[in-house]
Amino acid sequence: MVNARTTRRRELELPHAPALGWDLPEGHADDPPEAVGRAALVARYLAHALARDPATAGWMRRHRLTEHASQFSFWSPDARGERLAEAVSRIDPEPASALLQSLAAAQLAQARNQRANPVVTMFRAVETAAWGGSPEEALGDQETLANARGAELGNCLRRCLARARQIDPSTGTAPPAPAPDPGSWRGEMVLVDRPGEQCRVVLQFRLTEVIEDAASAAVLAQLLDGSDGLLYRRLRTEAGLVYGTVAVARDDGRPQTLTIGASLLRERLPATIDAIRRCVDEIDDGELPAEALGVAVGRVVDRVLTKLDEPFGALDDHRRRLNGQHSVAVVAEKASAAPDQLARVPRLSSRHRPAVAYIGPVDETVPELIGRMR
Amino acid sequence: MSRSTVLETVVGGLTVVAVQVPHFRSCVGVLSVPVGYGADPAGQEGTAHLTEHICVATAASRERVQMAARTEVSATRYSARATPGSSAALIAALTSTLGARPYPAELHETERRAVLTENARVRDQPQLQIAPAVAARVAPTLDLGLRDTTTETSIGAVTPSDIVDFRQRWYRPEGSVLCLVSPNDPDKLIAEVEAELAAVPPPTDPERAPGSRAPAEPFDVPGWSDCFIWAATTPAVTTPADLLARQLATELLTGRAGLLDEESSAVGTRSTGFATLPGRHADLLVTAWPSGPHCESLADGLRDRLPDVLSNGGGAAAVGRARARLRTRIAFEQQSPGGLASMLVRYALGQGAWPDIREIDAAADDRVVELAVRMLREASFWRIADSRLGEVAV
Repeated sequence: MVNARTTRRRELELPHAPALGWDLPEGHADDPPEAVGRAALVARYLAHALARDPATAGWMRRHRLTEHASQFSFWSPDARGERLAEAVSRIDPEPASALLQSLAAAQLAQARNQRANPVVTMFRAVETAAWGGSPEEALGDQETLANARGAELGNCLRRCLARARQIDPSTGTAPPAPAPDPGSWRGEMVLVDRPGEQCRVVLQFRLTEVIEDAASAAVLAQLLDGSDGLLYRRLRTEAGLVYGTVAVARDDGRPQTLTIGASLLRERLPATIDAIRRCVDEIDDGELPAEALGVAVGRVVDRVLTKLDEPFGALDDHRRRLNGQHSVAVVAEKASAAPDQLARVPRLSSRHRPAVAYIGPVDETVPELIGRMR
Repeated sequence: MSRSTVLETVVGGLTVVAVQVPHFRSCVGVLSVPVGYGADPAGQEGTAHLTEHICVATAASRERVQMAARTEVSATRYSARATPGSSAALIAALTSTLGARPYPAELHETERRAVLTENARVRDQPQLQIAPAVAARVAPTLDLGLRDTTTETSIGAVTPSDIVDFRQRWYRPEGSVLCLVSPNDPDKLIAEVEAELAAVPPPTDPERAPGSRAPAEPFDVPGWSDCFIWAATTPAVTTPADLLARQLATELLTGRAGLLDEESSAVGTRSTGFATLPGRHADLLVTAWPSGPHCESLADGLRDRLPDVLSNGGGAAAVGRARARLRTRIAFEQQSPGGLASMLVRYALGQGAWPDIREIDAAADDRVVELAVRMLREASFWRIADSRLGEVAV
């Protein structure tokens, strides 16, 4: 049938190569208080050096700074561990002062851009409300970055280079990663004043005690998330209160959490808060709809497959396994059993108070309104 | 390297490109409809964006497909992903946006409010306004200079029957492009497209009026601090070799570690942001730096010195580096189904070259340099000071 019309058939050669990881054992939580931003600056310098080394120039790069790790991911049709090792061996552990100054200026500009991004601010605020600390400080400020450029930076750099490890998913080499810090739940409220902006409300629930496995949490998040998720239906489709909703289950080896949120206009805040509370009660008290759970399972599986198809997908999955977590393929497999698991356990209620964050114009009524969600 | 099979065909007026990549584990589809907010009727700004929302909300087989959409100035793009076993549902979801279909009145109201909230969210981020503000000054009469000027009044004037009319006029297979990337047999995918298109209602109004928007009004960027801006329009080209040469010229100038980056380093600064605004035939490239005494030297370098160096034989090495970067970047994007599908949409619309990295050497150095020099010479410089945008004479 297809050949009956004009059809052009041709071949396309696609490079298919695995990504390569390079992980350093110090993250932003390891920065001394007076030199916050140091781990990020070290990473910036390393990226700068590797981008200019002939062995690794032109490689695509992604970097993630976590609390206790600095993770580089590289992709190139010709990315090889030996070439990376060769480039690393040429890194000067005593960077020139002018270069560091320029890199620090770029880092400050990035920090400014991140502060201006309301979505980044929203997730940071709720993490702070849930676990304390201030991830916003990961990049540092003018003063701490000036300190970070001092003599200790060279020592930090040498330490990191000595303990860095390559992650190659095709060979499976690399020792297991240290267990992530489980942290200590605070369940607080954080308000970020952004006059004149649209507002965002976000809650984080700690699920560890009620939902043990990542697959069930992912299915619960999926049940709420997306344009036909429960949260979206209740808040936008039925009530017309919000623009966007979000529901995310944490899946990084630390205690299981579920984060839900919405973006809206300030005048709709009181009604939205009531609607969010009703939605949470509905999940806690009601029967989760079997049909919607089935759809959520399908979407979790779909997301997992999509993730694995991303250029760094297999590498990220390898890191998960080194971290003691299940492969996402196993999560997808377990998701099919999640509806039974979710039917047996209480869901969002636990002895932990939810963490709440609000970003938008703060007036005298906002603290009381947001406090209602706890 | 892995070998994939690509089928290009036209089904019921719809251009379809289907690719089978055996190692992918998911299926992605992108549908580009040739209408965006630039075609909003006067007094009913927001029609195209609201249509996009309605199409997503009413798409077929939504429960098995994840969908997203974006209304640009001259196109609306729908993307969907699903498991390979649900490719028929994915095709049904995307093709169900074509044609005029009635929908419930309450959905109209909900999505109208959603469009307004979404627009307010974009307005809240001044950095997102920089490139459109520059575009409105650089190209007020071209499509890429137009701005989405939806207001509560204008979108309030759009009725459900206006949306049906808009879809009737613009949401047709002819002129639209569908790209499908999956591990599935492409012949089977195309047969599924054919079956779905049979359900698209034929247009009752065959006329397709061109967009009739007034030239863009200039606007400033409230809430943004000082910055210095370089803006260049990519040359409009048509041949495959020129499309590739234009892609290389853009990479040469604005790619990471490209000539703009080199010039920035030479004067001791670093760009703080880069944006590409897509137009129907050309794109606007915008790069910003913090304001400062270095800006004058930077402008001199970009306007005069760099074109001279490139024109006088100094471009070959830089073009070689740009080729290497572009080869890696294309290869990287092709690692995911979504990246490959986006590339093929641009190719099928005549906006991008055939994405085979083995053909990157086909564009001649001279032509790449010529296009890059033209972009440099025709570029303009702007400054935002205390939220006000103004052109800088160089």
